[in-house]
Amino acid sequence: MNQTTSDTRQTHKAPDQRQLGVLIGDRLCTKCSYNLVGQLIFREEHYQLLVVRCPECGATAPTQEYPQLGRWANRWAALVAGLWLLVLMVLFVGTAAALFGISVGLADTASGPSGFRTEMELAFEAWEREQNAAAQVTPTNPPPVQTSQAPGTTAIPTPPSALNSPSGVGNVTFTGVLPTTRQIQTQVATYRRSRAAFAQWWLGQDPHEFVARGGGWKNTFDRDALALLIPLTIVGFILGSFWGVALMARRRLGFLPWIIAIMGVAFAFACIPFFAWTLEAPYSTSAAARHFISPRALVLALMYAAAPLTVGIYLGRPLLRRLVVIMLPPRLRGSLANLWLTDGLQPPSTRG
Amino acid sequence: MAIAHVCNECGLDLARTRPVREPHYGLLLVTCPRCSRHCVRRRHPFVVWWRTLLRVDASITALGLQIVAAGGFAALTFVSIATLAAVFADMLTDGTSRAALFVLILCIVGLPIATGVWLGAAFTHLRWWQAWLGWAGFLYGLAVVIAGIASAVFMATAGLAPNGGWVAGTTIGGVTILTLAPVLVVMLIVTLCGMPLGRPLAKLNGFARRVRWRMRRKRRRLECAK
Repeated sequence: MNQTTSDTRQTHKAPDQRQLGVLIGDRLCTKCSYNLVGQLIFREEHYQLLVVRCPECGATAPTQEYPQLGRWANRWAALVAGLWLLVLMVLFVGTAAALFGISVGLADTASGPSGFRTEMELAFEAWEREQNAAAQVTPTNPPPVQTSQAPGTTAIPTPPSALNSPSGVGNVTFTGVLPTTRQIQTQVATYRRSRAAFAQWWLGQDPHEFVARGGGWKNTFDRDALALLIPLTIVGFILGSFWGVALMARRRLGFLPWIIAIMGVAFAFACIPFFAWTLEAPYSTSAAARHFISPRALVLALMYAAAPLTVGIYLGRPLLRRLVVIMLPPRLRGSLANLWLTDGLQPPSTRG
Repeated sequence: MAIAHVCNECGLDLARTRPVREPHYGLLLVTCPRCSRHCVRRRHPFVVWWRTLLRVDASITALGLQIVAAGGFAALTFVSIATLAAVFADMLTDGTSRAALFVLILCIVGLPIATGVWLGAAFTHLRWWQAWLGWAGFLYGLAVVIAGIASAVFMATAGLAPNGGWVAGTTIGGVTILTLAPVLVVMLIVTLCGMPLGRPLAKLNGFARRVRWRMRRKRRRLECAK
Protein backbone atom coordinates (compact mmCIF):
# COMPACT_ATOMS: atom_id res chain seq x y z
CA MET A 1 0.00 0.00 0.00
CA ASN A 2 2.82 2.37 0.86
CA GLN A 3 4.53 1.58 -2.39
CA THR A 4 1.33 2.33 -4.31
CA THR A 5 0.95 5.54 -2.42
CA SER A 6 4.37 6.82 -3.25
CA ASP A 7 3.98 5.76 -6.89
CA THR A 8 0.71 7.53 -7.17
CA ARG A 9 2.14 10.66 -5.68
CA GLN A 10 4.99 10.64 -8.15
CA THR A 11 3.02 9.85 -11.27
CA HIS A 12 0.17 12.30 -10.65
CA LYS A 13 1.97 15.50 -10.04
CA ALA A 14 0.79 16.73 -13.43
CA PRO A 15 -2.32 14.92 -14.59
CA ASP A 16 -3.25 14.82 -18.21
CA GLN A 17 -5.82 17.57 -18.51
CA ARG A 18 -7.37 16.81 -21.87
CA GLN A 19 -10.69 18.55 -22.00
CA LEU A 20 -13.68 16.26 -22.20
CA GLY A 21 -16.29 18.80 -21.25
CA VAL A 22 -17.08 21.86 -19.21
CA LEU A 23 -18.96 21.88 -15.95
CA ILE A 24 -22.09 23.91 -16.60
CA GLY A 25 -23.95 23.23 -13.36
CA ASP A 26 -23.36 24.61 -9.87
CA ARG A 27 -20.91 22.53 -7.89
CA LEU A 28 -19.01 23.81 -4.90
CA CYS A 29 -15.54 22.56 -4.11
CA THR A 30 -15.73 20.28 -1.08
CA LYS A 31 -12.71 21.95 0.46
CA CYS A 32 -12.84 25.68 -0.21
CA SER A 33 -16.44 26.16 -1.47
CA TYR A 34 -15.25 27.68 -4.71
CA ASN A 35 -17.92 27.33 -7.37
CA LEU A 36 -16.54 24.96 -10.00
CA VAL A 37 -18.95 26.08 -12.71
CA GLY A 38 -17.09 26.52 -16.01
CA GLN A 39 -14.14 24.29 -15.06
CA LEU A 40 -12.79 21.67 -17.44
CA ILE A 41 -13.80 18.04 -17.00
CA PHE A 42 -10.93 15.68 -17.78
CA ARG A 43 -10.17 11.99 -17.38
CA GLU A 44 -7.62 11.38 -14.73
CA GLU A 45 -5.08 9.09 -16.37
CA HIS A 46 -4.19 6.75 -13.51
CA TYR A 47 -7.63 5.80 -12.19
CA GLN A 48 -9.50 6.77 -15.36
CA LEU A 49 -11.91 8.88 -13.34
CA LEU A 50 -13.75 11.88 -14.71
CA VAL A 51 -12.68 14.72 -12.45
CA VAL A 52 -12.69 18.48 -12.12
CA ARG A 53 -9.95 20.40 -10.39
CA CYS A 54 -10.63 23.34 -8.14
CA PRO A 55 -8.59 26.28 -9.45
CA GLU A 56 -8.50 27.80 -5.97
CA CYS A 57 -7.21 25.00 -3.74
CA GLY A 58 -6.35 22.30 -6.25
CA ALA A 59 -8.74 19.74 -4.74
CA THR A 60 -10.01 17.09 -7.12
CA ALA A 61 -13.73 16.53 -7.40
CA PRO A 62 -14.99 13.35 -9.05
CA THR A 63 -17.93 13.97 -11.33
CA GLN A 64 -19.15 10.37 -11.43
CA GLU A 65 -21.87 9.91 -8.87
CA TYR A 66 -22.99 6.64 -7.34
CA PRO A 67 -25.95 5.81 -5.13
CA GLN A 68 -25.60 6.29 -1.41
CA LEU A 69 -24.83 3.22 0.64
CA GLY A 70 -27.61 3.61 3.18
CA ARG A 71 -31.23 4.60 3.52
CA TRP A 72 -31.13 6.78 6.58
CA ALA A 73 -29.88 9.75 4.66
CA ASN A 74 -33.19 10.13 2.85
CA ARG A 75 -35.14 9.56 6.06
CA TRP A 76 -33.20 12.23 7.89
CA ALA A 77 -33.55 14.51 4.88
CA ALA A 78 -37.33 14.11 5.04
CA LEU A 79 -37.28 14.81 8.78
CA VAL A 80 -35.16 17.92 8.36
CA ALA A 81 -37.39 19.11 5.52
CA GLY A 82 -40.44 18.59 7.72
CA LEU A 83 -38.84 20.50 10.58
CA TRP A 84 -37.89 23.33 8.23
CA LEU A 85 -41.47 23.45 6.97
CA LEU A 86 -42.71 23.58 10.55
CA VAL A 87 -40.35 26.42 11.39
CA LEU A 88 -41.50 28.30 8.29
CA MET A 89 -45.14 27.82 9.26
CA VAL A 90 -44.49 29.15 12.76
CA LEU A 91 -42.60 32.12 11.32
CA PHE A 92 -45.40 32.64 8.81
CA VAL A 93 -47.96 32.95 11.62
CA GLY A 94 -45.43 35.01 13.60
CA THR A 95 -45.07 37.47 10.73
CA ALA A 96 -48.82 37.92 10.50
CA ALA A 97 -49.03 38.25 14.30
CA ALA A 98 -46.28 40.88 14.37
CA LEU A 99 -47.99 43.01 11.73
CA PHE A 100 -51.32 42.52 13.46
CA GLY A 101 -49.87 43.48 16.87
CA ILE A 102 -48.33 46.74 15.71
CA SER A 103 -51.48 47.57 13.74
CA VAL A 104 -53.67 46.99 16.80
CA GLY A 105 -51.41 49.28 18.83
CA LEU A 106 -51.67 51.88 16.10
CA ALA A 107 -55.46 51.52 15.90
CA ASP A 108 -55.80 51.82 19.66
CA THR A 109 -53.57 54.91 19.70
CA ALA A 110 -55.55 56.42 16.82
CA SER A 111 -58.62 56.61 19.04
CA GLY A 112 -56.83 59.04 21.37
CA PRO A 113 -57.42 62.78 21.61
CA SER A 114 -58.57 64.23 18.30
CA GLY A 115 -61.01 66.67 16.81
CA PHE A 116 -63.62 63.93 16.64
CA ARG A 117 -63.24 63.02 20.29
CA THR A 118 -63.26 66.63 21.44
CA GLU A 119 -66.50 67.27 19.62
CA MET A 120 -68.01 64.12 21.07
CA GLU A 121 -66.96 65.02 24.61
CA LEU A 122 -68.38 68.54 24.22
CA ALA A 123 -71.67 67.14 22.93
CA PHE A 124 -71.88 64.64 25.76
CA GLU A 125 -71.13 67.28 28.38
CA ALA A 126 -73.83 69.50 26.89
CA TRP A 127 -76.25 66.61 27.02
CA GLU A 128 -75.25 65.89 30.61
CA ARG A 129 -75.87 69.51 31.58
CA GLU A 130 -79.28 69.33 29.98
CA GLN A 131 -80.04 66.17 31.89
CA ASN A 132 -78.89 67.67 35.15
CA ALA A 133 -80.95 70.78 34.56
CA ALA A 134 -83.99 68.64 33.80
CA ALA A 135 -83.37 66.60 36.95
CA GLN A 136 -83.23 69.79 39.04
CA VAL A 137 -86.51 71.04 37.61
CA THR A 138 -88.27 67.73 38.29
CA PRO A 139 -86.33 66.10 41.13
CA THR A 140 -88.63 63.10 41.34
CA ASN A 141 -87.86 62.15 37.76
CA PRO A 142 -85.60 59.15 37.49
CA PRO A 143 -82.24 59.80 35.88
CA PRO A 144 -81.74 58.48 32.35
CA VAL A 145 -80.01 55.47 33.74
CA GLN A 146 -81.22 51.94 34.12
CA THR A 147 -80.69 50.88 37.69
CA SER A 148 -81.30 47.68 39.50
CA GLN A 149 -83.71 49.29 41.88
CA ALA A 150 -87.21 48.01 42.09
CA PRO A 151 -89.95 50.20 40.65
CA GLY A 152 -91.40 52.56 43.14
CA THR A 153 -88.33 53.04 45.26
CA THR A 154 -86.51 56.32 45.54
CA ALA A 155 -84.28 56.75 42.52
CA ILE A 156 -81.15 58.01 44.19
CA PRO A 157 -78.03 57.32 42.15
CA THR A 158 -75.89 54.69 43.78
CA PRO A 159 -72.13 55.07 43.67
CA PRO A 160 -70.45 51.92 42.45
CA SER A 161 -68.38 51.69 45.61
CA ALA A 162 -71.53 51.63 47.68
CA LEU A 163 -72.37 48.25 46.16
CA ASN A 164 -69.70 46.78 48.33
CA SER A 165 -70.56 48.82 51.38
CA PRO A 166 -71.78 47.15 54.47
CA SER A 167 -74.99 49.08 54.22
CA GLY A 168 -76.18 47.00 51.32
CA VAL A 169 -77.02 47.38 47.69
CA GLY A 170 -78.98 50.44 46.76
CA ASN A 171 -79.17 51.61 50.30
CA VAL A 172 -77.22 54.81 50.27
CA THR A 173 -76.05 55.58 53.75
CA PHE A 174 -73.16 57.97 53.62
CA THR A 175 -72.39 58.08 57.30
CA GLY A 176 -69.21 56.31 58.16
CA VAL A 177 -68.94 54.27 54.99
CA LEU A 178 -67.24 56.73 52.70
CA PRO A 179 -64.78 59.12 54.29
CA THR A 180 -65.51 62.49 52.70
CA THR A 181 -68.30 64.22 50.95
CA ARG A 182 -65.97 65.24 48.15
CA GLN A 183 -65.24 61.64 47.32
CA ILE A 184 -68.92 60.86 47.28
CA GLN A 185 -69.51 63.73 44.93
CA THR A 186 -66.75 62.50 42.68
CA GLN A 187 -68.23 59.06 42.63
CA VAL A 188 -71.63 60.39 41.87
CA ALA A 189 -70.17 62.45 39.02
CA THR A 190 -68.42 59.39 37.74
CA TYR A 191 -71.61 57.47 37.97
CA ARG A 192 -73.37 60.06 35.87
CA ARG A 193 -70.92 59.25 33.14
CA SER A 194 -71.54 55.62 33.67
CA ARG A 195 -71.92 53.06 30.97
CA ALA A 196 -75.67 53.02 30.73
CA ALA A 197 -76.02 56.77 30.54
CA PHE A 198 -73.41 57.10 27.86
CA ALA A 199 -74.78 54.16 25.88
CA GLN A 200 -78.19 55.73 25.91
CA TRP A 201 -76.79 59.03 24.68
CA TRP A 202 -74.61 57.39 22.03
CA LEU A 203 -77.56 55.57 20.49
CA GLY A 204 -79.02 58.86 19.37
CA GLN A 205 -75.81 60.22 17.88
CA ASP A 206 -74.43 60.24 14.37
CA PRO A 207 -70.64 59.80 14.61
CA HIS A 208 -70.15 61.22 11.13
CA GLU A 209 -71.52 64.49 12.41
CA PHE A 210 -68.66 64.63 14.96
CA VAL A 211 -66.23 63.84 12.17
CA ALA A 212 -67.55 66.77 10.14
CA ARG A 213 -67.58 69.10 13.14
CA GLY A 214 -64.10 68.01 14.22
CA GLY A 215 -62.51 69.04 10.94
CA GLY A 216 -63.07 66.01 8.75
CA TRP A 217 -61.33 62.62 8.65
CA LYS A 218 -57.94 64.32 8.82
CA ASN A 219 -58.59 65.30 12.45
CA THR A 220 -60.47 62.16 13.39
CA PHE A 221 -57.38 60.08 14.17
CA ASP A 222 -54.93 60.86 16.94
CA ARG A 223 -51.68 61.95 15.31
CA ASP A 224 -49.62 60.03 17.85
CA ALA A 225 -50.61 56.94 15.90
CA LEU A 226 -48.57 58.17 12.92
CA ALA A 227 -45.41 57.60 14.95
CA LEU A 228 -46.24 53.89 15.04
CA LEU A 229 -46.06 53.80 11.25
CA ILE A 230 -42.27 53.89 11.61
CA PRO A 231 -41.95 50.55 13.48
CA LEU A 232 -44.68 49.11 11.28
CA THR A 233 -42.67 50.04 8.19
CA ILE A 234 -39.37 48.79 9.57
CA VAL A 235 -40.77 45.51 10.91
CA GLY A 236 -42.78 44.92 7.74
CA PHE A 237 -39.74 45.50 5.55
CA ILE A 238 -37.44 43.29 7.64
CA LEU A 239 -39.96 40.44 7.77
CA GLY A 240 -40.60 40.84 4.06
CA SER A 241 -36.87 40.66 3.38
CA PHE A 242 -36.67 37.47 5.42
CA TRP A 243 -39.45 35.90 3.37
CA GLY A 244 -37.87 37.09 0.15
CA VAL A 245 -34.78 35.08 1.07
CA ALA A 246 -36.54 32.13 2.71
CA LEU A 247 -38.82 31.54 -0.26
CA MET A 248 -35.92 30.67 -2.50
CA ALA A 249 -37.99 28.82 -5.06
CA ARG A 250 -40.33 31.77 -5.64
CA ARG A 251 -39.80 34.62 -8.05
CA ARG A 252 -41.83 37.68 -9.04
CA LEU A 253 -45.49 36.66 -9.24
CA GLY A 254 -44.76 33.59 -7.14
CA PHE A 255 -44.46 35.85 -4.10
CA LEU A 256 -47.98 37.24 -4.46
CA PRO A 257 -49.82 34.23 -2.94
CA TRP A 258 -47.53 34.42 0.09
CA ILE A 259 -48.14 38.13 0.56
CA ILE A 260 -51.88 37.55 0.29
CA ALA A 261 -51.67 34.60 2.68
CA ILE A 262 -49.68 36.54 5.31
CA MET A 263 -52.01 39.52 5.11
CA GLY A 264 -55.00 37.15 5.17
CA VAL A 265 -53.82 35.63 8.44
CA ALA A 266 -53.13 39.12 9.82
CA PHE A 267 -56.68 40.18 8.87
CA ALA A 268 -58.03 37.00 10.44
CA PHE A 269 -56.24 37.90 13.69
CA ALA A 270 -57.62 41.41 13.34
CA CYS A 271 -61.18 40.10 13.42
CA ILE A 272 -60.84 39.58 17.19
CA PRO A 273 -60.32 43.25 18.21
CA PHE A 274 -62.36 44.44 15.23
CA PHE A 275 -65.52 42.70 16.43
CA ALA A 276 -64.72 43.46 20.07
CA TRP A 277 -64.59 47.17 19.25
CA THR A 278 -67.52 47.13 16.86
CA LEU A 279 -70.00 44.97 18.74
CA GLU A 280 -69.42 46.30 22.24
CA ALA A 281 -71.76 49.15 23.16
CA PRO A 282 -69.68 52.23 24.01
CA TYR A 283 -69.83 53.21 27.69
CA SER A 284 -67.56 56.27 27.62
CA THR A 285 -66.08 58.74 25.18
CA SER A 286 -62.87 56.75 24.91
CA ALA A 287 -64.82 53.56 24.27
CA ALA A 288 -66.94 55.34 21.69
CA ALA A 289 -63.80 56.61 19.99
CA ARG A 290 -62.45 53.05 19.95
CA HIS A 291 -65.81 51.84 18.69
CA PHE A 292 -65.84 54.26 15.78
CA ILE A 293 -62.18 55.00 14.98
CA SER A 294 -60.13 51.94 15.90
CA PRO A 295 -61.73 49.43 13.47
CA ARG A 296 -61.18 51.83 10.59
CA ALA A 297 -57.64 52.60 11.72
CA LEU A 298 -56.93 48.87 12.07
CA VAL A 299 -58.01 48.12 8.51
CA LEU A 300 -56.02 51.08 7.20
CA ALA A 301 -52.94 50.06 9.20
CA LEU A 302 -53.06 46.49 7.94
CA MET A 303 -53.50 47.68 4.38
CA TYR A 304 -50.51 49.95 4.87
CA ALA A 305 -48.49 47.07 6.41
CA ALA A 306 -48.87 45.13 3.18
CA ALA A 307 -46.76 47.77 1.39
CA PRO A 308 -43.46 47.42 3.32
CA LEU A 309 -43.98 43.66 3.45
CA THR A 310 -44.30 43.52 -0.33
CA VAL A 311 -41.35 45.83 -0.88
CA GLY A 312 -39.28 43.76 1.54
CA ILE A 313 -40.18 40.49 -0.15
CA TYR A 314 -39.24 41.78 -3.58
CA LEU A 315 -36.13 43.68 -2.50
CA GLY A 316 -34.91 41.28 0.21
CA ARG A 317 -32.97 38.93 -2.04
CA PRO A 318 -31.28 41.60 -4.22
CA LEU A 319 -30.47 43.54 -1.07
CA LEU A 320 -28.89 40.50 0.58
CA ARG A 321 -26.93 39.76 -2.60
CA ARG A 322 -25.60 43.31 -2.58
CA LEU A 323 -24.75 43.02 1.13
CA VAL A 324 -22.91 39.74 0.55
CA VAL A 325 -20.81 41.27 -2.22
CA ILE A 326 -20.01 44.36 -0.17
CA MET A 327 -19.52 42.78 3.22
CA LEU A 328 -18.00 39.36 2.63
CA PRO A 329 -14.58 38.50 1.30
CA PRO A 330 -14.67 36.41 -1.90
CA ARG A 331 -13.81 33.07 -0.25
CA LEU A 332 -16.99 33.22 1.87
CA ARG A 333 -19.33 33.99 -1.02
CA GLY A 334 -19.29 30.57 -2.67
CA SER A 335 -21.54 28.87 -0.14
CA LEU A 336 -24.18 31.58 -0.65
CA ALA A 337 -24.20 31.11 -4.44
CA ASN A 338 -27.82 29.94 -4.27
CA LEU A 339 -28.88 33.54 -3.77
CA TRP A 340 -27.81 34.16 -7.37
CA LEU A 341 -28.55 30.80 -8.90
CA THR A 342 -32.16 30.80 -7.73
CA ASP A 343 -32.77 33.91 -9.83
CA GLY A 344 -30.81 32.58 -12.80
CA LEU A 345 -27.91 34.95 -12.20
CA GLN A 346 -24.21 34.31 -12.39
CA PRO A 347 -22.73 33.93 -8.88
CA PRO A 348 -20.08 36.50 -7.99
CA SER A 349 -16.46 35.69 -8.42
CA THR A 350 -14.90 34.00 -5.43
CA ARG A 351 -11.50 35.32 -6.39
CA GLY A 352 -10.28 38.50 -4.83
CA MET B 1 -28.77 -3.75 3.57
CA ALA B 2 -26.37 -1.59 1.61
CA ILE B 3 -27.56 -0.13 -1.67
CA ALA B 4 -25.80 -1.48 -4.73
CA HIS B 5 -22.68 0.17 -6.00
CA VAL B 6 -22.05 -1.53 -9.31
CA CYS B 7 -18.70 -1.41 -11.05
CA ASN B 8 -18.92 0.55 -14.30
CA GLU B 9 -16.56 -1.87 -16.03
CA CYS B 10 -17.59 -5.42 -15.07
CA GLY B 11 -20.86 -5.00 -13.13
CA LEU B 12 -19.61 -6.45 -9.87
CA ASP B 13 -21.45 -5.05 -6.85
CA LEU B 14 -18.92 -3.13 -4.79
CA ALA B 15 -21.32 -2.39 -1.93
CA ARG B 16 -19.31 -4.50 0.50
CA THR B 17 -15.94 -3.36 -0.73
CA ARG B 18 -14.32 -1.03 1.72
CA PRO B 19 -13.14 2.29 0.24
CA VAL B 20 -9.61 3.56 0.78
CA ARG B 21 -8.75 7.21 0.98
CA GLU B 22 -6.54 7.93 -1.97
CA PRO B 23 -3.51 9.84 -0.68
CA HIS B 24 -2.92 12.18 -3.60
CA TYR B 25 -6.43 13.42 -4.29
CA GLY B 26 -7.92 12.54 -0.91
CA LEU B 27 -10.89 10.76 -2.49
CA LEU B 28 -12.64 7.68 -1.16
CA LEU B 29 -11.53 5.17 -3.79
CA VAL B 30 -13.01 1.74 -4.37
CA THR B 31 -11.05 -0.64 -6.58
CA CYS B 32 -13.02 -3.42 -8.21
CA PRO B 33 -11.51 -6.75 -7.08
CA ARG B 34 -12.47 -8.36 -10.37
CA CYS B 35 -11.39 -5.89 -13.07
CA SER B 36 -9.31 -3.42 -10.99
CA ARG B 37 -11.35 -0.48 -12.26
CA HIS B 38 -11.32 2.43 -9.82
CA CYS B 39 -14.31 4.46 -8.84
CA VAL B 40 -15.09 7.00 -6.15
CA ARG B 41 -17.57 6.40 -3.40
CA ARG B 42 -19.60 9.38 -2.50
CA ARG B 43 -19.11 10.96 0.85
CA HIS B 44 -21.97 10.23 3.19
CA PRO B 45 -24.73 12.84 2.83
CA PHE B 46 -24.65 13.59 6.54
CA VAL B 47 -21.04 14.62 6.21
CA VAL B 48 -21.77 16.59 3.06
CA TRP B 49 -24.73 18.35 4.67
CA TRP B 50 -22.81 19.05 7.82
CA ARG B 51 -19.89 20.53 5.94
CA THR B 52 -22.21 22.55 3.71
CA LEU B 53 -24.06 23.75 6.77
CA LEU B 54 -20.80 24.76 8.43
CA ARG B 55 -19.78 26.71 5.34
CA VAL B 56 -23.12 28.49 5.05
CA ASP B 57 -23.05 29.11 8.79
CA ALA B 58 -19.57 30.60 8.53
CA SER B 59 -20.70 32.91 5.72
CA ILE B 60 -23.90 33.97 7.48
CA THR B 61 -22.05 34.48 10.78
CA ALA B 62 -19.46 36.62 9.04
CA LEU B 63 -22.19 38.61 7.32
CA GLY B 64 -24.07 39.02 10.60
CA LEU B 65 -20.93 40.15 12.42
CA GLN B 66 -20.19 42.64 9.66
CA ILE B 67 -23.70 44.05 9.85
CA VAL B 68 -23.56 44.23 13.64
CA ALA B 69 -20.15 45.91 13.46
CA ALA B 70 -21.40 48.39 10.87
CA GLY B 71 -24.50 49.15 12.94
CA GLY B 72 -22.49 49.35 16.15
CA PHE B 73 -19.85 51.69 14.77
CA ALA B 74 -22.51 53.87 13.14
CA ALA B 75 -24.52 54.02 16.37
CA LEU B 76 -21.38 54.82 18.37
CA THR B 77 -20.52 57.54 15.88
CA PHE B 78 -23.88 59.26 16.32
CA VAL B 79 -23.77 58.77 20.09
CA SER B 80 -20.31 60.33 20.02
CA ILE B 81 -21.63 63.33 18.14
CA ALA B 82 -24.37 63.78 20.72
CA THR B 83 -21.81 63.37 23.52
CA LEU B 84 -19.54 65.90 21.84
CA ALA B 85 -22.37 68.42 21.74
CA ALA B 86 -22.98 67.91 25.47
CA VAL B 87 -19.26 68.14 26.29
CA PHE B 88 -18.87 71.33 24.27
CA ALA B 89 -21.85 72.82 26.06
CA ASP B 90 -20.29 71.92 29.43
CA MET B 91 -16.94 73.33 28.36
CA LEU B 92 -18.55 76.63 27.42
CA THR B 93 -20.16 76.94 30.83
CA ASP B 94 -17.74 75.19 33.20
CA GLY B 95 -14.45 75.42 31.30
CA THR B 96 -12.17 72.65 30.14
CA SER B 97 -11.72 69.68 32.43
CA ARG B 98 -9.58 66.55 32.15
CA ALA B 99 -12.66 64.32 31.85
CA ALA B 100 -14.05 66.49 29.06
CA LEU B 101 -10.75 66.30 27.17
CA PHE B 102 -10.70 62.52 27.58
CA VAL B 103 -14.21 62.23 26.16
CA LEU B 104 -13.26 64.60 23.38
CA ILE B 105 -10.22 62.54 22.39
CA LEU B 106 -12.20 59.31 22.67
CA CYS B 107 -14.94 60.59 20.39
CA ILE B 108 -12.85 62.48 17.85
CA VAL B 109 -9.83 60.18 17.70
CA GLY B 110 -10.44 56.83 19.42
CA LEU B 111 -13.67 55.80 17.82
CA PRO B 112 -12.81 56.89 14.25
CA ILE B 113 -9.43 55.14 14.46
CA ALA B 114 -11.16 51.94 15.65
CA THR B 115 -13.65 52.31 12.80
CA GLY B 116 -10.80 52.77 10.36
CA VAL B 117 -9.04 49.65 11.62
CA TRP B 118 -12.25 47.69 11.17
CA LEU B 119 -12.77 49.09 7.67
CA GLY B 120 -9.20 48.28 6.74
CA ALA B 121 -9.31 44.74 8.13
CA ALA B 122 -12.79 43.64 7.11
CA PHE B 123 -13.03 45.10 3.61
CA THR B 124 -9.81 43.90 2.04
CA HIS B 125 -11.76 42.81 -1.03
CA LEU B 126 -12.58 46.47 -1.72
CA ARG B 127 -10.18 49.25 -2.52
CA TRP B 128 -9.50 51.54 0.44
CA TRP B 129 -11.31 54.47 -1.13
CA GLN B 130 -14.32 52.28 -1.97
CA ALA B 131 -14.60 51.17 1.65
CA TRP B 132 -14.17 54.70 2.93
CA LEU B 133 -16.63 56.26 0.50
CA GLY B 134 -19.12 53.47 1.19
CA TRP B 135 -18.83 54.07 4.92
CA ALA B 136 -19.21 57.83 4.46
CA GLY B 137 -22.27 57.30 2.27
CA PHE B 138 -23.74 54.92 4.83
CA LEU B 139 -23.26 57.43 7.66
CA TYR B 140 -24.70 60.32 5.69
CA GLY B 141 -27.62 58.13 4.62
CA LEU B 142 -28.24 57.29 8.25
CA ALA B 143 -28.04 60.99 9.12
CA VAL B 144 -30.73 61.70 6.56
CA VAL B 145 -32.87 58.86 7.96
CA ILE B 146 -32.40 60.15 11.53
CA ALA B 147 -33.33 63.66 10.40
CA GLY B 148 -36.35 62.25 8.55
CA ILE B 149 -37.51 60.35 11.61
CA ALA B 150 -37.00 63.43 13.79
CA SER B 151 -39.12 65.43 11.36
CA ALA B 152 -41.79 62.74 11.10
CA VAL B 153 -42.09 62.29 14.86
CA PHE B 154 -42.25 66.03 15.35
CA MET B 155 -44.90 66.46 12.68
CA ALA B 156 -46.88 63.53 14.01
CA THR B 157 -46.89 64.60 17.63
CA ALA B 158 -46.58 68.37 17.60
CA GLY B 159 -50.23 68.90 16.87
CA LEU B 160 -49.49 72.06 14.95
CA ALA B 161 -51.43 73.32 12.00
CA PRO B 162 -50.62 71.19 8.95
CA ASN B 163 -48.57 73.78 7.08
CA GLY B 164 -46.76 74.99 10.18
CA GLY B 165 -46.06 71.36 11.09
CA TRP B 166 -44.50 70.62 7.72
CA VAL B 167 -42.33 73.72 7.82
CA ALA B 168 -41.21 73.12 11.39
CA GLY B 169 -40.63 69.42 10.78
CA THR B 170 -38.56 70.05 7.67
CA THR B 171 -36.59 72.70 9.51
CA ILE B 172 -35.83 70.25 12.29
CA GLY B 173 -34.65 67.69 9.75
CA GLY B 174 -32.45 70.23 8.02
CA VAL B 175 -30.96 71.45 11.30
CA THR B 176 -30.23 67.86 12.33
CA ILE B 177 -28.36 67.18 9.10
CA LEU B 178 -26.49 70.47 9.27
CA THR B 179 -25.43 69.67 12.85
CA LEU B 180 -24.30 66.15 12.01
CA ALA B 181 -22.53 66.88 8.72
CA PRO B 182 -19.43 68.87 9.77
CA VAL B 183 -18.66 66.65 12.75
CA LEU B 184 -18.99 63.61 10.51
CA VAL B 185 -16.48 65.09 8.07
CA VAL B 186 -13.88 65.40 10.83
CA MET B 187 -14.55 61.89 12.09
CA LEU B 188 -14.37 60.43 8.59
CA ILE B 189 -11.00 62.05 7.97
CA VAL B 190 -9.65 60.50 11.17
CA THR B 191 -11.20 57.19 10.11
CA LEU B 192 -9.15 57.39 6.93
CA CYS B 193 -6.01 57.57 9.07
CA GLY B 194 -6.96 54.37 10.89
CA MET B 195 -7.54 52.32 7.74
CA PRO B 196 -3.87 51.53 7.00
CA LEU B 197 -3.66 49.92 10.45
CA GLY B 198 -6.34 47.41 9.53
CA ARG B 199 -4.63 46.02 6.42
CA PRO B 200 -1.72 44.38 8.29
CA LEU B 201 -4.23 42.82 10.67
CA ALA B 202 -6.08 41.27 7.73
CA LYS B 203 -2.80 40.01 6.27
CA LEU B 204 -1.84 38.51 9.62
CA ASN B 205 -5.19 36.73 9.78
CA GLY B 206 -4.75 35.41 6.25
CA PHE B 207 -1.26 34.18 7.08
CA ALA B 208 -2.52 32.37 10.19
CA ARG B 209 -5.25 30.75 8.12
CA ARG B 210 -2.80 29.56 5.51
CA VAL B 211 -0.55 28.12 8.20
CA ARG B 212 -3.45 26.22 9.71
CA TRP B 213 -4.41 24.95 6.26
CA ARG B 214 -0.88 23.74 5.52
CA MET B 215 -0.65 22.01 8.89
CA ARG B 216 -3.93 20.23 8.30
CA ARG B 217 -2.89 19.03 4.87
CA LYS B 218 0.44 17.86 6.24
CA ARG B 219 -1.26 15.97 9.04
CA ARG B 220 -3.63 14.28 6.59
CA ARG B 221 -0.74 13.41 4.25
CA LEU B 222 1.13 11.81 7.11
CA GLU B 223 -1.97 9.88 8.16
CA CYS B 224 -2.44 8.56 4.62
CA ALA B 225 1.22 7.60 4.33
CA LYS B 226 1.06 5.44 7.45
